[in-house]
Amino acid sequence: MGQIGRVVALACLLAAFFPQGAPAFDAGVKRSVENYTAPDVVLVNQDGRKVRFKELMASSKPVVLDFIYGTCTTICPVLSAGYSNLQQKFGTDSAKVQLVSVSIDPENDTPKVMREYLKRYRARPGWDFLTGSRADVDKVMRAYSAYVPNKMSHYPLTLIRNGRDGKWIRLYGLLSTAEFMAEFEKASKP
Amino acid sequence: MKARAFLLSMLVLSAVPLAAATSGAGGDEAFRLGERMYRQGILPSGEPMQAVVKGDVAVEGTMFTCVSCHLRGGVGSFEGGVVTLPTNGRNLFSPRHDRYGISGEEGLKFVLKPRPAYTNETLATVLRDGFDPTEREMAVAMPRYLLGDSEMAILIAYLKSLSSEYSPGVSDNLIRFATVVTDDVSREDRAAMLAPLKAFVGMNNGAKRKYKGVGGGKDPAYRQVALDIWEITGPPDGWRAQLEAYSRKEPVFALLGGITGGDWRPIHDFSEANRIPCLFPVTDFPVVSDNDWYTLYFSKGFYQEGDAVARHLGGLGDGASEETVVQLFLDGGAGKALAAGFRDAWLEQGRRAPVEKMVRPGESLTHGEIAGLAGGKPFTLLLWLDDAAIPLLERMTDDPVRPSAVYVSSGMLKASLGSLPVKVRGATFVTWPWRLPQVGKGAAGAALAWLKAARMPTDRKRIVTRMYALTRLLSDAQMMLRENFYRDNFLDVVSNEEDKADYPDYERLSFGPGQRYASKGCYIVQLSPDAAPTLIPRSGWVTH
Ligand code: HEC
Repeated sequence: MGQIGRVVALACLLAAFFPQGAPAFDAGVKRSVENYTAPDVVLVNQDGRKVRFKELMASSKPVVLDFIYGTCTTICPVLSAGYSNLQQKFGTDSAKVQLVSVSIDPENDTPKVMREYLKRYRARPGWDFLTGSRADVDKVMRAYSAYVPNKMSHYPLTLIRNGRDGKWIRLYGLLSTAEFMAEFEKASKP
Repeated sequence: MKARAFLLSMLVLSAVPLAAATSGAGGDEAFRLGERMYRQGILPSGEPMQAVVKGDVAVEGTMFTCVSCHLRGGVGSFEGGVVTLPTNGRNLFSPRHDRYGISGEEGLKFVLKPRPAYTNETLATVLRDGFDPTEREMAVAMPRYLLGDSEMAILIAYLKSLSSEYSPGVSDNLIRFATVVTDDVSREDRAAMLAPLKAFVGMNNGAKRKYKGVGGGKDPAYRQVALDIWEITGPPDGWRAQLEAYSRKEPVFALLGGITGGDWRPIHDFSEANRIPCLFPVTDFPVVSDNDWYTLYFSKGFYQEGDAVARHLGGLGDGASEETVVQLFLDGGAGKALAAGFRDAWLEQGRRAPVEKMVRPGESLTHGEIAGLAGGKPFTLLLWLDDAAIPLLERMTDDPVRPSAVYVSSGMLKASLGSLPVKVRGATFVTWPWRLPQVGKGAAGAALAWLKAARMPTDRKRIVTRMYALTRLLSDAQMMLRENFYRDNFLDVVSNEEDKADYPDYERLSFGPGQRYASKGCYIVQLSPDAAPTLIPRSGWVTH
């Protein structure tokens, strides 16, 4: 359990029940526009190939980035279903969009685990799942204001790079396919 | 909502053979079908379940299903600001009273409204349309499921039975655990294993742990802890019957720790077959499996060391990883596990199989024979031997046909690691599945101080420190478990613990649903040339 988990657990102890409450982000998606600089680190993708993260982020294609892990509950499944649906919308053009998921549980997320995960979500070419050393993954999380000291206290975040000026749209919350597509189109308009 | 209409039409198509398939499904069969929906997202017809998240995100059950969020025991989870409510029998079919909590990040306070107990009808409504009996709409993360009536009936029957009664070993005031000790274990090791567990029981049963509920009454989740010792004797093929006899006589909620000099397999299989959790036994020979559920290990043991070597060697580049690899391994558990760990990870990288030779205890090979295995080409040598590796390396330095690098296992060499010839240290890499000694004292300072103050016996085998880690994990788990005394939920709860980076033995322990080996790391080190060598890390704790 993350920090939040601890606080809640404490509340449980006091009140003698568990669990309780309602999701914190049901109010809707929070949107902002940000500038980020990709750190120069080498990560490993689902095929065990080394990937220079900075180069991937500088792709001429539109880029979408999220932070997940293989055994995560509730948030990652929904985020990944979103990626899967987006790819489906693009059909055979799926590789025209670069979808990137960075693991926040790099110790457990080996290429094999990531490959199986992608298969479950019927990932097509154009969706890369990246792992690496904890230090490098931390650098990536920090660069996108997504750092969490503990994987259990992460939150749903989708980042879309605007093709025109390289700015990032930061979306905090879970997106419907329609919302995702609308944001994506805004970001990738020439 | 087009997606929904589309999915619905799919459903209608698949509903016809389904009705035929489920009519006549008996109790056990219905349970199995319900469990498959819950755990694998597959309908009785064999098709994936269909659902919609966030209004229009279509989801197939094989991507994720109930278990992915509500977990195996059904008591739910709390992750990333999302509370996944319980969906187990006991919680669903009793009313929920006013509940509140606070969530850290934004100091958010929220209140969860009471609701009456679910009925079959209201449960079907919440699963299909996302409204609970008070008309409260579920958060967007809870999918709306497209289920036919007979499918719904099967799922609901399963939910009714899921975590509906406390597991064996729990009464109103006591929770019973056991720990397994086999008769090959020395008195000292046995005592070292038991000391932290007994301290845990003492603390739990002492007055301080009977924390009060808000009203000032006794905490309803508090239980005294009993710890039985299951002494197992004789050869491994007789262990299972002894374990089952103990379990019949006095059932336990879970097994804690435990120790054997041999393979944990018979105990692992017992836990698996009887669905009894077993937490963190002390063993060099855990069962390495992707799917087994009931035993949580500290690590994959020797297997993990071999795996780390494959990752290290594979990542070296400059031709080193293209050389022929020769694996010599001692006939026995350790050598075989190291060789298997390397082989599996090496082939997984898509590389050429290593040349392997099993060595019998006492058998010695000449360098010519070893070089011959590599066909006279440059090679890397993996030497999974005990102290017999030392004289071999001693002689090797004089030989013109030397391997370009040698890997040895610290776990197999044990104390003779220090006598690794200085001449070969520059070309010899050692597996080190522990925290580096030079940083241990800082990072794990608090733990070590506690152990000292508690006058725990010290031991070279890290038995006390590991069992201490278990007791800390247990204390955390107890807080999260509350009154949900279901064995599967107990494992779910441990799986949701935070990473631990301040325990004495491992750089990091991490958890997650289905993760069964908490330490995933192993350094590759070299020894400094000093008489009392220091360990120089040549890899990270985890390498990909
Ligand atoms: C992606 C995660 C996810 C999946 C998959 C999921 N649920 Fe849920 N479920 C939730 C969340 C989150 C809530 C709490 C919503 C709220 O409180 O607003 C919930 C609530 C519920 C509730 C209401 C409990 C109450 O006390 O009112 C039931 C019942 C339920 N889920 C059953 C299921 C079943 C059965 C499945 C599989 C067929 C399933 N869920 C799949 C996340 C999920």
